[in-house]
Amino acid sequence: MKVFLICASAIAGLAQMPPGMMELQKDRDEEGVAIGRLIQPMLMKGATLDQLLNVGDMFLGDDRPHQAAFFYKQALRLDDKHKRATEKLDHVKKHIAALNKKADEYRRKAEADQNAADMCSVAAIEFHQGRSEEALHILDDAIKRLPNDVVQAYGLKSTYVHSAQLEHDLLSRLEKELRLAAFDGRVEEGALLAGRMISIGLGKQRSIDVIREFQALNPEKIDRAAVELLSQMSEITKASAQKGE
Amino acid sequence: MLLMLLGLVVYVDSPLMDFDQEQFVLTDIKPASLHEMSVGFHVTAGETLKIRRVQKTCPCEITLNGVALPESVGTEMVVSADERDYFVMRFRAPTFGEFDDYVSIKVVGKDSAREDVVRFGIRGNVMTTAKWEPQEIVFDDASADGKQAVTLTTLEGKPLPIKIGEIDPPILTVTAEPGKMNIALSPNAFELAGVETNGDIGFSYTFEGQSVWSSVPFSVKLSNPCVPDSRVVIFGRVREFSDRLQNVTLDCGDLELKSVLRAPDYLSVRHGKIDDKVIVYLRLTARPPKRFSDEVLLETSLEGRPVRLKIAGQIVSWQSEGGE
Repeated sequence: MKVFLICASAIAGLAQMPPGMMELQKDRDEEGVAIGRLIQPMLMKGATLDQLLNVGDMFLGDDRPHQAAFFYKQALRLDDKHKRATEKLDHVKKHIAALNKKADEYRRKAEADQNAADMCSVAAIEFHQGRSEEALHILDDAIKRLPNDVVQAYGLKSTYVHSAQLEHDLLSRLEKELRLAAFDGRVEEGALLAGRMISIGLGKQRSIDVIREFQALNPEKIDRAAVELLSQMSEITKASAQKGE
Repeated sequence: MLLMLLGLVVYVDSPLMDFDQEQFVLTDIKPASLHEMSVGFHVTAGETLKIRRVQKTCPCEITLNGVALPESVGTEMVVSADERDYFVMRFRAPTFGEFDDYVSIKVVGKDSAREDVVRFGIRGNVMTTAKWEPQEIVFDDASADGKQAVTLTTLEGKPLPIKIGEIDPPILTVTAEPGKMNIALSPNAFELAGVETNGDIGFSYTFEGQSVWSSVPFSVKLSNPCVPDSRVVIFGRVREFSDRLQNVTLDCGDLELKSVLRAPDYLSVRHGKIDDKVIVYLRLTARPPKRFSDEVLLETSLEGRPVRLKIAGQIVSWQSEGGE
Protein backbone atom coordinates (compact mmCIF):
# COMPACT_ATOMS: atom_id res chain seq x y z
CA MET A 1 0.00 0.00 0.00
CA LYS A 2 2.79 2.38 0.94
CA VAL A 3 4.36 1.82 -2.45
CA PHE A 4 1.23 2.91 -4.23
CA LEU A 5 0.89 5.96 -2.03
CA ILE A 6 4.40 7.00 -2.98
CA CYS A 7 3.54 6.59 -6.65
CA ALA A 8 0.37 8.65 -6.23
CA SER A 9 2.13 11.49 -4.44
CA ALA A 10 4.82 11.48 -7.10
CA ILE A 11 2.27 12.14 -9.85
CA ALA A 12 1.14 15.27 -8.04
CA GLY A 13 4.68 16.53 -8.08
CA LEU A 14 5.41 15.93 -11.73
CA ALA A 15 5.98 19.48 -12.82
CA GLN A 16 7.06 21.07 -9.57
CA MET A 17 8.98 20.41 -6.39
CA PRO A 18 6.84 18.01 -4.32
CA PRO A 19 4.63 19.85 -1.83
CA GLY A 20 6.08 20.16 1.62
CA MET A 21 9.66 19.64 0.42
CA MET A 22 10.83 22.92 1.94
CA GLU A 23 9.32 21.97 5.28
CA LEU A 24 10.93 18.59 4.92
CA GLN A 25 14.31 20.28 4.51
CA LYS A 26 13.79 22.18 7.75
CA ASP A 27 12.75 19.01 9.54
CA ARG A 28 15.96 17.41 8.43
CA ASP A 29 17.90 19.40 11.00
CA GLU A 30 16.41 16.99 13.46
CA GLU A 31 16.40 14.03 11.12
CA GLY A 32 18.02 10.86 12.34
CA VAL A 33 18.32 12.09 15.92
CA ALA A 34 16.23 9.25 17.37
CA ILE A 35 18.41 6.49 15.91
CA GLY A 36 21.46 8.71 16.39
CA ARG A 37 20.85 8.77 20.12
CA LEU A 38 20.77 4.97 20.18
CA ILE A 39 23.97 4.62 18.14
CA GLN A 40 25.85 7.31 20.10
CA PRO A 41 26.56 5.19 23.22
CA MET A 42 27.45 2.18 21.04
CA LEU A 43 30.20 4.24 19.43
CA MET A 44 31.49 5.49 22.74
CA LYS A 45 31.39 2.37 24.86
CA GLY A 46 30.89 -0.52 22.48
CA ALA A 47 27.68 -2.13 21.31
CA THR A 48 25.53 -4.10 23.73
CA LEU A 49 22.94 -6.63 22.69
CA ASP A 50 20.05 -4.49 23.91
CA GLN A 51 21.32 -1.45 22.04
CA LEU A 52 21.58 -3.44 18.82
CA LEU A 53 18.05 -4.74 19.22
CA ASN A 54 16.74 -1.25 19.95
CA VAL A 55 18.39 0.16 16.82
CA GLY A 56 16.97 -2.76 14.85
CA ASP A 57 13.51 -2.00 16.22
CA MET A 58 13.83 1.65 15.26
CA PHE A 59 14.75 0.75 11.69
CA LEU A 60 11.92 -1.77 11.54
CA GLY A 61 9.49 0.85 12.80
CA ASP A 62 10.71 3.10 10.01
CA ASP A 63 9.99 0.30 7.49
CA ARG A 64 13.68 -0.41 6.85
CA PRO A 65 13.65 -4.20 7.20
CA HIS A 66 17.10 -4.79 5.70
CA GLN A 67 18.71 -2.41 8.17
CA ALA A 68 16.66 -3.91 11.01
CA ALA A 69 17.78 -7.41 10.03
CA PHE A 70 21.37 -6.24 10.01
CA PHE A 71 21.20 -5.08 13.62
CA TYR A 72 19.33 -8.21 14.77
CA LYS A 73 22.05 -10.34 13.18
CA GLN A 74 24.70 -8.31 14.99
CA ALA A 75 22.83 -8.92 18.25
CA LEU A 76 22.85 -12.65 17.58
CA ARG A 77 26.60 -12.52 17.10
CA LEU A 78 26.87 -11.49 20.73
CA ASP A 79 24.46 -14.22 21.83
CA ASP A 80 23.48 -16.68 19.11
CA LYS A 81 20.68 -18.15 21.22
CA HIS A 82 19.11 -14.93 22.30
CA LYS A 83 15.37 -15.51 22.09
CA ARG A 84 14.15 -11.98 21.37
CA ALA A 85 16.82 -11.41 18.75
CA THR A 86 16.03 -14.71 17.05
CA GLU A 87 12.31 -13.92 16.97
CA LYS A 88 12.90 -10.45 15.66
CA LEU A 89 15.19 -11.68 12.93
CA ASP A 90 12.76 -14.41 11.90
CA HIS A 91 9.98 -11.85 11.76
CA VAL A 92 11.96 -9.41 9.70
CA LYS A 93 13.20 -12.14 7.37
CA LYS A 94 9.60 -13.03 6.62
CA HIS A 95 8.89 -9.37 6.02
CA ILE A 96 11.83 -9.07 3.61
CA ALA A 97 10.80 -12.28 1.87
CA ALA A 98 7.29 -10.90 1.40
CA LEU A 99 8.73 -7.63 0.16
CA ASN A 100 11.00 -9.42 -2.30
CA LYS A 101 8.11 -11.58 -3.44
CA LYS A 102 6.02 -8.49 -4.01
CA ALA A 103 8.84 -6.85 -5.93
CA ASP A 104 9.29 -9.95 -8.05
CA GLU A 105 5.57 -9.99 -8.81
CA TYR A 106 5.70 -6.36 -9.84
CA ARG A 107 8.71 -7.12 -12.00
CA ARG A 108 6.98 -10.05 -13.66
CA LYS A 109 3.80 -8.07 -14.19
CA ALA A 110 5.77 -5.15 -15.54
CA GLU A 111 7.52 -7.46 -18.01
CA ALA A 112 4.31 -9.23 -19.03
CA ASP A 113 1.97 -6.26 -19.25
CA GLN A 114 4.52 -3.56 -20.01
CA ASN A 115 2.94 -1.68 -17.14
CA ALA A 116 4.68 1.47 -15.89
CA ALA A 117 2.84 1.45 -12.55
CA ASP A 118 4.36 -1.93 -11.67
CA MET A 119 7.83 -0.77 -12.57
CA CYS A 120 7.26 2.29 -10.36
CA SER A 121 6.37 -0.02 -7.51
CA VAL A 122 9.60 -1.97 -7.94
CA ALA A 123 11.51 1.31 -8.00
CA ALA A 124 9.76 2.47 -4.85
CA ILE A 125 10.80 -0.69 -3.00
CA GLU A 126 14.41 -0.20 -4.07
CA PHE A 127 14.41 3.47 -3.15
CA HIS A 128 12.95 2.90 0.26
CA GLN A 129 15.70 0.42 1.06
CA GLY A 130 18.31 3.09 0.38
CA ARG A 131 19.15 1.95 -3.14
CA SER A 132 18.31 5.23 -4.85
CA GLU A 133 20.59 4.64 -7.85
CA GLU A 134 18.92 1.32 -8.58
CA ALA A 135 15.47 2.93 -8.22
CA LEU A 136 16.37 5.71 -10.67
CA HIS A 137 17.78 3.15 -13.07
CA ILE A 138 14.47 1.23 -13.03
CA LEU A 139 12.51 4.44 -13.65
CA ASP A 140 14.79 5.47 -16.51
CA ASP A 141 14.30 2.02 -17.98
CA ALA A 142 10.52 2.40 -17.66
CA ILE A 143 10.59 5.81 -19.34
CA LYS A 144 12.68 4.39 -22.18
CA ARG A 145 10.65 1.22 -22.69
CA LEU A 146 7.17 2.67 -22.20
CA PRO A 147 7.30 6.09 -23.83
CA ASN A 148 3.49 6.34 -23.97
CA ASP A 149 3.05 5.77 -20.26
CA VAL A 150 5.72 7.88 -18.59
CA VAL A 151 3.76 10.32 -16.43
CA GLN A 152 3.93 8.19 -13.33
CA ALA A 153 7.59 7.28 -13.80
CA TYR A 154 8.61 10.90 -14.44
CA GLY A 155 6.73 12.02 -11.35
CA LEU A 156 8.36 9.41 -9.18
CA LYS A 157 11.76 10.15 -10.64
CA SER A 158 11.34 13.84 -9.85
CA THR A 159 10.50 12.98 -6.24
CA TYR A 160 13.43 10.63 -5.88
CA VAL A 161 15.92 12.99 -7.46
CA HIS A 162 14.89 15.76 -5.10
CA SER A 163 14.89 13.43 -2.17
CA ALA A 164 18.33 12.04 -3.06
CA GLN A 165 19.64 15.60 -3.45
CA LEU A 166 18.30 16.56 -0.03
CA GLU A 167 19.86 13.45 1.46
CA HIS A 168 23.16 14.23 -0.26
CA ASP A 169 23.14 17.82 1.02
CA LEU A 170 22.25 16.78 4.53
CA LEU A 171 24.89 14.05 4.63
CA SER A 172 27.49 16.48 3.28
CA ARG A 173 26.69 18.94 6.04
CA LEU A 174 26.77 16.25 8.72
CA GLU A 175 30.07 14.92 7.37
CA LYS A 176 31.63 18.39 7.65
CA GLU A 177 30.31 18.77 11.18
CA LEU A 178 31.58 15.33 12.12
CA ARG A 179 35.05 16.08 10.75
CA LEU A 180 35.22 19.28 12.81
CA ALA A 181 34.04 17.41 15.90
CA ALA A 182 36.60 14.67 15.20
CA PHE A 183 39.39 17.24 14.95
CA ASP A 184 38.33 18.98 18.18
CA GLY A 185 37.87 15.70 20.05
CA ARG A 186 34.19 16.47 20.70
CA VAL A 187 33.37 12.79 20.80
CA GLU A 188 29.85 12.87 22.27
CA GLU A 189 28.68 15.32 19.66
CA GLY A 190 30.53 13.43 16.97
CA ALA A 191 29.02 10.10 17.98
CA LEU A 192 25.54 11.58 17.74
CA LEU A 193 26.34 13.03 14.30
CA ALA A 194 27.66 9.65 13.21
CA GLY A 195 24.46 7.98 14.42
CA ARG A 196 22.37 10.49 12.49
CA MET A 197 24.40 9.81 9.37
CA ILE A 198 23.74 6.08 9.75
CA SER A 199 20.05 6.76 10.18
CA ILE A 200 19.75 9.11 7.19
CA GLY A 201 22.19 7.46 4.79
CA LEU A 202 21.34 3.91 5.90
CA GLY A 203 25.03 3.14 6.22
CA LYS A 204 26.25 4.45 2.88
CA GLN A 205 29.96 4.03 2.29
CA ARG A 206 30.60 7.79 2.23
CA SER A 207 29.25 8.08 5.80
CA ILE A 208 31.17 5.04 6.96
CA ASP A 209 34.42 6.53 5.62
CA VAL A 210 34.00 9.68 7.71
CA ILE A 211 32.97 7.71 10.80
CA ARG A 212 36.15 5.65 10.46
CA GLU A 213 38.16 8.87 10.28
CA PHE A 214 36.36 10.06 13.42
CA GLN A 215 37.42 6.88 15.21
CA ALA A 216 41.00 7.06 13.88
CA LEU A 217 41.43 10.56 15.28
CA ASN A 218 39.89 9.59 18.61
CA PRO A 219 40.98 5.98 19.07
CA GLU A 220 40.81 6.10 22.86
CA LYS A 221 37.28 7.44 23.01
CA ILE A 222 35.48 5.84 20.09
CA ASP A 223 35.03 2.09 20.06
CA ARG A 224 36.72 0.59 17.04
CA ALA A 225 34.68 -2.61 17.09
CA ALA A 226 31.43 -0.62 16.98
CA VAL A 227 32.71 1.33 13.99
CA GLU A 228 33.73 -1.88 12.25
CA LEU A 229 30.27 -3.28 12.96
CA LEU A 230 28.58 -0.24 11.42
CA SER A 231 30.99 -0.38 8.46
CA GLN A 232 29.38 -3.63 7.35
CA MET A 233 26.08 -1.80 6.86
CA SER A 234 27.39 -0.28 3.63
CA GLU A 235 26.89 -3.65 1.98
CA ILE A 236 23.11 -3.24 2.28
CA THR A 237 22.98 -0.08 0.21
CA LYS A 238 25.10 -1.53 -2.57
CA ALA A 239 22.68 -2.16 -5.40
CA SER A 240 23.75 -5.67 -6.21
CA ALA A 241 23.88 -6.89 -2.62
CA GLN A 242 21.21 -8.39 -0.44
CA LYS A 243 18.87 -9.20 -3.31
CA GLY A 244 18.61 -12.70 -2.01
CA GLU A 245 17.96 -11.68 1.58
CA MET B 1 61.57 59.72 -61.73
CA LEU B 2 61.56 55.97 -61.19
CA LEU B 3 65.33 55.98 -60.98
CA MET B 4 65.21 58.74 -58.38
CA LEU B 5 62.75 56.76 -56.25
CA LEU B 6 64.86 53.60 -56.58
CA GLY B 7 67.90 55.58 -55.54
CA LEU B 8 66.07 56.86 -52.46
CA VAL B 9 65.05 53.33 -51.41
CA VAL B 10 68.63 52.09 -51.80
CA TYR B 11 69.87 55.09 -49.85
CA VAL B 12 67.43 54.54 -46.99
CA ASP B 13 68.10 50.77 -46.75
CA SER B 14 71.87 50.84 -47.12
CA PRO B 15 73.96 50.34 -43.96
CA LEU B 16 75.59 53.36 -42.42
CA MET B 17 78.89 51.52 -41.94
CA ASP B 18 80.60 48.48 -43.44
CA PHE B 19 82.56 46.13 -41.14
CA ASP B 20 85.15 43.61 -42.23
CA GLN B 21 84.00 41.10 -39.56
CA GLU B 22 81.04 40.85 -37.20
CA GLN B 23 81.38 37.29 -35.84
CA PHE B 24 84.38 35.92 -33.91
CA VAL B 25 85.05 32.34 -32.85
CA LEU B 26 87.59 31.56 -30.12
CA THR B 27 88.21 27.89 -29.44
CA ASP B 28 90.08 26.16 -26.62
CA ILE B 29 91.24 29.39 -25.07
CA LYS B 30 92.72 29.62 -21.61
CA PRO B 31 90.46 30.34 -18.65
CA ALA B 32 89.98 34.07 -17.99
CA SER B 33 92.40 34.90 -20.79
CA LEU B 34 92.18 38.33 -22.48
CA HIS B 35 91.64 38.52 -26.24
CA GLU B 36 91.84 41.52 -28.55
CA MET B 37 90.09 41.57 -31.90
CA SER B 38 90.11 44.37 -34.44
CA VAL B 39 87.03 45.29 -36.42
CA GLY B 40 87.81 47.36 -39.52
CA PHE B 41 85.08 49.73 -40.66
CA HIS B 42 84.22 52.16 -43.44
CA VAL B 43 81.61 54.90 -43.06
CA THR B 44 79.34 54.51 -46.06
CA ALA B 45 76.51 56.79 -44.95
CA GLY B 46 77.90 59.85 -46.71
CA GLU B 47 77.54 61.86 -43.51
CA THR B 48 79.04 62.14 -40.04
CA LEU B 49 77.94 59.39 -37.61
CA LYS B 50 77.50 59.25 -33.84
CA ILE B 51 78.38 55.91 -32.22
CA ARG B 52 77.78 54.47 -28.76
CA ARG B 53 77.76 51.04 -27.19
CA VAL B 54 74.31 49.80 -26.23
CA GLN B 55 74.60 46.26 -24.88
CA LYS B 56 77.07 43.53 -23.93
CA THR B 57 76.77 40.08 -22.44
CA CYS B 58 80.40 39.60 -21.45
CA PRO B 59 83.24 41.36 -19.70
CA CYS B 60 84.07 43.17 -22.96
CA GLU B 61 85.24 46.57 -24.03
CA ILE B 62 85.17 48.18 -27.44
CA THR B 63 87.52 51.08 -28.21
CA LEU B 64 88.38 53.40 -31.07
CA ASN B 65 91.86 54.85 -31.08
CA GLY B 66 92.29 53.74 -27.47
CA VAL B 67 89.10 55.40 -26.24
CA ALA B 68 86.22 53.20 -25.04
CA LEU B 69 82.92 53.72 -26.83
CA PRO B 70 80.59 55.62 -24.49
CA GLU B 71 77.23 54.25 -23.41
CA SER B 72 75.16 57.34 -22.66
CA VAL B 73 73.07 59.27 -25.16
CA GLY B 74 74.66 62.64 -25.77
CA THR B 75 78.21 61.41 -25.22
CA GLU B 76 78.52 59.52 -28.52
CA MET B 77 81.78 59.23 -30.40
CA VAL B 78 81.79 60.93 -33.79
CA VAL B 79 83.27 59.52 -37.04
CA SER B 80 83.38 61.49 -40.29
CA ALA B 81 81.83 60.63 -43.59
CA ASP B 82 83.92 58.17 -45.59
CA GLU B 83 86.27 57.51 -42.63
CA ARG B 84 88.09 54.15 -42.56
CA ASP B 85 89.47 52.91 -39.24
CA TYR B 86 89.10 50.00 -36.86
CA PHE B 87 87.61 49.26 -33.44
CA VAL B 88 89.43 47.10 -30.93
CA MET B 89 87.33 44.64 -28.95
CA ARG B 90 88.72 43.22 -25.74
CA PHE B 91 87.15 40.05 -24.45
CA ARG B 92 87.84 38.33 -21.12
CA ALA B 93 87.18 34.59 -21.37
CA PRO B 94 85.13 32.82 -18.73
CA THR B 95 86.91 30.24 -16.60
CA PHE B 96 85.28 27.15 -18.08
CA GLY B 97 82.82 25.85 -20.61
CA GLU B 98 81.33 27.25 -23.78
CA PHE B 99 80.36 30.86 -24.32
CA ASP B 100 78.19 32.76 -26.79
CA ASP B 101 78.30 36.51 -26.18
CA TYR B 102 77.92 39.75 -28.04
CA VAL B 103 78.58 43.47 -27.92
CA SER B 104 76.25 45.79 -29.77
CA ILE B 105 76.70 49.39 -30.89
CA LYS B 106 74.26 51.98 -32.13
CA VAL B 107 75.16 54.17 -35.11
CA VAL B 108 73.13 57.33 -35.85
CA GLY B 109 73.44 59.65 -38.87
CA LYS B 110 74.13 63.13 -37.54
CA ASP B 111 72.06 64.86 -40.22
CA SER B 112 69.60 62.18 -41.35
CA ALA B 113 69.02 60.65 -37.89
CA ARG B 114 69.04 57.21 -39.55
CA GLU B 115 69.91 54.45 -37.07
CA ASP B 116 71.64 51.09 -37.22
CA VAL B 117 72.32 48.64 -34.42
CA VAL B 118 75.27 46.33 -35.12
CA ARG B 119 75.96 43.25 -33.04
CA PHE B 120 79.46 41.72 -32.81
CA GLY B 121 79.25 38.08 -31.75
CA ILE B 122 81.94 36.23 -29.81
CA ARG B 123 81.51 32.53 -29.22
CA GLY B 124 83.73 29.56 -28.50
CA ASN B 125 84.91 27.52 -25.58
CA VAL B 126 87.49 27.47 -22.82
CA MET B 127 90.05 24.71 -22.92
CA THR B 128 89.69 21.82 -20.51
CA THR B 129 92.04 22.41 -17.62
CA ALA B 130 91.01 19.68 -15.23
CA LYS B 131 89.03 16.49 -15.17
CA TRP B 132 86.60 15.20 -12.56
CA GLU B 133 84.78 11.98 -11.97
CA PRO B 134 81.90 11.36 -11.85
CA GLN B 135 80.36 14.07 -13.98
CA GLU B 136 77.13 14.04 -11.97
CA ILE B 137 76.12 13.03 -8.45
CA VAL B 138 72.87 11.18 -7.86
CA PHE B 139 71.41 10.42 -4.45
CA ASP B 140 68.49 8.01 -4.27
CA ASP B 141 66.92 5.83 -1.56
CA ALA B 142 69.75 3.29 -1.80
CA SER B 143 72.54 5.84 -1.51
CA ALA B 144 70.78 8.34 0.76
CA ASP B 145 72.69 7.44 3.89
CA GLY B 146 76.13 7.10 2.35
CA LYS B 147 78.83 9.43 1.08
CA GLN B 148 79.90 10.01 -2.48
CA ALA B 149 83.14 11.46 -3.80
CA VAL B 150 84.21 13.47 -6.81
CA THR B 151 87.88 13.36 -7.74
CA LEU B 152 89.43 16.39 -9.40
CA THR B 153 92.82 16.26 -11.10
CA THR B 154 94.83 18.05 -13.73
CA LEU B 155 94.72 16.56 -17.20
CA GLU B 156 97.94 14.77 -16.26
CA GLY B 157 96.24 13.19 -13.23
CA LYS B 158 97.72 15.35 -10.50
CA PRO B 159 95.27 16.07 -7.62
CA LEU B 160 94.07 19.67 -7.57
CA PRO B 161 93.35 21.62 -4.39
CA ILE B 162 89.64 22.41 -4.32
CA LYS B 163 87.69 25.27 -2.80
CA ILE B 164 83.97 24.60 -2.33
CA GLY B 165 81.65 27.38 -3.46
CA GLU B 166 77.88 27.67 -3.41
CA ILE B 167 75.73 24.55 -3.17
CA ASP B 168 72.39 25.28 -4.75
CA PRO B 169 69.98 24.23 -3.30
CA PRO B 170 71.83 23.82 0.00
CA ILE B 171 70.83 20.23 0.71
CA LEU B 172 74.29 18.65 0.57
CA THR B 173 77.21 18.63 2.93
CA VAL B 174 80.43 18.91 0.96
CA THR B 175 83.97 18.82 2.30
CA ALA B 176 87.14 19.18 0.27
CA GLU B 177 90.59 17.68 0.39
CA PRO B 178 93.27 17.92 -2.31
CA GLY B 179 91.89 16.28 -5.42
CA LYS B 180 88.63 15.16 -3.84
CA MET B 181 85.20 16.35 -2.73
CA ASN B 182 83.26 14.28 -0.19
CA ILE B 183 79.52 14.67 -0.54
CA ALA B 184 76.65 13.61 1.71
CA LEU B 185 72.98 14.54 1.98
CA SER B 186 72.20 17.16 4.61
CA PRO B 187 69.36 16.28 7.01
CA ASN B 188 67.14 18.90 5.34
CA ALA B 189 67.43 17.01 2.03
CA PHE B 190 64.96 14.46 3.35
CA GLU B 191 62.35 17.18 3.61
CA LEU B 192 62.30 17.18 -0.18
CA ALA B 193 61.48 13.49 -0.42
CA GLY B 194 58.97 12.71 -3.11
CA VAL B 195 60.16 15.53 -5.35
CA GLU B 196 63.17 15.15 -7.61
CA THR B 197 65.54 18.01 -6.88
CA ASN B 198 68.39 19.09 -9.15
CA GLY B 199 71.21 21.45 -8.35
CA ASP B 200 74.92 22.25 -8.61
CA ILE B 201 77.96 22.08 -6.39
CA GLY B 202 80.11 25.10 -7.16
CA PHE B 203 83.86 24.72 -6.71
CA SER B 204 87.09 26.34 -7.79
CA TYR B 205 90.69 25.39 -8.40
CA THR B 206 93.73 27.22 -9.62
CA PHE B 207 95.08 26.96 -13.16
CA GLU B 208 98.26 28.89 -14.00
CA GLY B 209 97.59 31.30 -11.16
CA GLN B 210 94.02 31.86 -12.30
CA SER B 211 91.09 30.81 -10.17
CA VAL B 212 88.80 28.63 -12.26
CA TRP B 213 85.18 28.24 -11.16
CA SER B 214 83.15 25.28 -12.22
CA SER B 215 80.33 23.09 -10.94
CA VAL B 216 79.20 19.49 -10.65
CA PRO B 217 75.49 18.89 -11.20
CA PHE B 218 73.61 16.73 -8.71
CA SER B 219 70.16 15.29 -8.36
CA VAL B 220 68.35 13.95 -5.30
CA LYS B 221 65.62 11.40 -5.94
CA LEU B 222 64.26 10.24 -2.60
CA SER B 223 60.90 8.59 -2.36
CA ASN B 224 58.40 9.97 0.12
CA PRO B 225 58.28 7.69 3.19
CA CYS B 226 54.49 8.10 3.08
CA VAL B 227 52.72 8.60 -0.22
CA PRO B 228 49.88 11.13 -0.02
CA ASP B 229 46.74 10.64 -2.11
CA SER B 230 47.15 14.15 -3.46
CA ARG B 231 50.32 16.12 -4.07
CA VAL B 232 48.91 19.31 -2.58
CA VAL B 233 46.26 19.65 0.12
CA ILE B 234 44.07 22.31 -1.42
CA PHE B 235 41.85 24.36 0.87
CA GLY B 236 40.55 26.16 -2.18
CA ARG B 237 38.52 29.32 -1.64
CA VAL B 238 37.87 29.43 2.09
CA ARG B 239 34.52 31.02 2.90
CA GLU B 240 32.74 28.94 5.49
CA PHE B 241 33.93 27.59 8.78
CA SER B 242 33.89 24.05 7.47
CA ASP B 243 36.19 25.05 4.57
CA ARG B 244 38.98 25.48 7.11
CA LEU B 245 39.35 21.73 7.54
CA GLN B 246 40.90 19.49 4.90
CA ASN B 247 42.27 15.99 5.02
CA VAL B 248 44.72 13.83 3.18
CA THR B 249 45.30 10.10 3.26
CA LEU B 250 48.85 8.78 3.44
CA ASP B 251 50.08 5.34 2.52
CA CYS B 252 52.87 4.82 5.03
CA GLY B 253 53.33 1.06 4.81
CA ASP B 254 54.86 -0.10 8.08
CA LEU B 255 55.83 3.37 9.19
CA GLU B 256 54.04 5.29 11.91
CA LEU B 257 53.39 8.99 11.90
CA LYS B 258 54.66 10.43 15.14
CA SER B 259 54.39 14.19 15.44
CA VAL B 260 54.34 17.48 13.62
CA LEU B 261 57.87 18.71 13.02
CA ARG B 262 56.93 21.92 11.30
CA ALA B 263 53.70 23.64 10.34
CA PRO B 264 52.72 27.24 9.76
CA ASP B 265 51.40 29.13 12.82
CA TYR B 266 47.88 29.27 11.45
CA LEU B 267 47.54 25.53 10.98
CA SER B 268 46.87 22.63 13.36
CA VAL B 269 47.36 19.03 12.39
CA ARG B 270 45.90 15.77 13.74
CA HIS B 271 46.25 12.28 12.40
CA GLY B 272 45.01 8.76 12.96
CA LYS B 273 45.44 5.32 11.47
CA ILE B 274 42.80 3.49 9.43
CA ASP B 275 43.94 -0.03 8.49
CA ASP B 276 47.21 0.45 6.57
CA LYS B 277 46.54 4.14 5.80
CA VAL B 278 46.98 7.27 7.83
CA ILE B 279 44.38 10.01 7.74
CA VAL B 280 45.72 13.51 8.38
CA TYR B 281 43.40 16.40 9.21
CA LEU B 282 44.70 19.91 8.66
CA ARG B 283 42.77 22.81 10.08
CA LEU B 284 43.21 26.56 9.75
CA THR B 285 43.06 27.67 13.38
CA ALA B 286 44.10 31.26 12.72
CA ARG B 287 43.72 33.48 9.71
CA PRO B 288 46.44 32.75 7.16
CA PRO B 289 47.61 35.22 4.50
CA LYS B 290 44.97 35.93 1.84
CA ARG B 291 46.69 33.57 -0.57
CA PHE B 292 48.68 30.93 1.25
CA SER B 293 51.01 28.20 0.11
CA ASP B 294 53.04 26.41 2.73
CA GLU B 295 54.53 23.16 3.88
CA VAL B 296 53.89 20.80 6.75
CA LEU B 297 56.53 18.39 7.95
CA LEU B 298 55.50 15.28 9.83
CA GLU B 299 57.87 13.05 11.75
CA THR B 300 57.74 9.32 11.01
CA SER B 301 59.00 6.33 12.92
CA LEU B 302 61.92 6.22 10.46
CA GLU B 303 64.34 8.66 12.02
CA GLY B 304 65.32 11.56 9.82
CA ARG B 305 62.73 10.68 7.17
CA PRO B 306 59.84 13.11 7.61
CA VAL B 307 56.81 13.42 5.35
CA ARG B 308 56.29 16.70 3.59
CA LEU B 309 52.83 17.94 2.69
CA LYS B 310 52.12 21.03 0.65
CA ILE B 311 49.07 23.12 1.38
CA ALA B 312 47.49 25.96 -0.57
CA GLY B 313 44.37 28.06 -0.55
CA GLN B 314 42.81 31.47 -0.62
CA ILE B 315 40.84 33.25 2.09
CA VAL B 316 37.65 34.73 0.69
CA SER B 317 35.88 35.33 3.98
CA TRP B 318 37.05 34.93 7.56
CA GLN B 319 34.77 35.40 10.51
CA SER B 320 35.52 34.59 14.11
CA GLU B 321 34.23 31.27 15.31
CA GLY B 322 31.63 32.85 17.61
CA GLY B 323 30.33 35.01 14.80
CA GLU B 324 29.22 32.09 12.73
